[in-house]
Amino acid sequence: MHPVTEKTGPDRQAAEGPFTTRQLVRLDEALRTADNITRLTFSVYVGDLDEPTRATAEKMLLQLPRPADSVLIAVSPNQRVLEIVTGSRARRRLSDRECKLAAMSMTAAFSGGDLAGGIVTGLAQLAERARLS
Amino acid sequence: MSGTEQLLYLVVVPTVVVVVVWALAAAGGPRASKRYRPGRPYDFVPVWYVANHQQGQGGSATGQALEGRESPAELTAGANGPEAGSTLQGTTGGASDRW
Repeated sequence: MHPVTEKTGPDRQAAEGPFTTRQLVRLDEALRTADNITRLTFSVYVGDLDEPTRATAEKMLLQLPRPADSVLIAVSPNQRVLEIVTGSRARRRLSDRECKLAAMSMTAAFSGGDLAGGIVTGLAQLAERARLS
Repeated sequence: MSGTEQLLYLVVVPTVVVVVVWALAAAGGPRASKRYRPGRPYDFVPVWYVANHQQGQGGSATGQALEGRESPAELTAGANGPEAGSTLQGTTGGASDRW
């Protein structure tokens, strides 16, 4: 797993990032597994989103290398908002209803304070639904 | 038991215990726990991750390998790529939720 952009140093990330090393390892594994079994590009953003949050998340999807085949999970803990955005081709394999079900699982975990667990669960659920048969 | 021993057991030892517990609690404050609590301010650096396939089959990420960014507006990776613009024209899907 690596960041989409590189702006701050590793030390700063380690000090100020929201996840522990163990959580990062779980997240990394979930991202790689999701990518491998679906051949889509899964991406996770955790931080504030400009209003309107949906439009901001859609713009962020465009900044990924293959937006049409990508899935962005954007989580804003301060706003308590979760946005799952699927690209045009990814959408054919991952319906909006399936995304909504994953979103409900994720927000249930977030309400209990488990950010990393909710994201990992959501990634697994989305990847299973979009899995190549 | 002499007066000095009484002072040691009844005053000095409890005081040392209280100071040690306080120091441990102060060292492990809310930022050190890295735990998100709904309703509390979340002031961590924004992070945005994708899978790193170059890392190899047996590799795994560590905290040092990850970095954050300041805001979505600073991202420029594929904004002008060949597929840019094709996904925003009503073709994106997904879901929104709140908690």
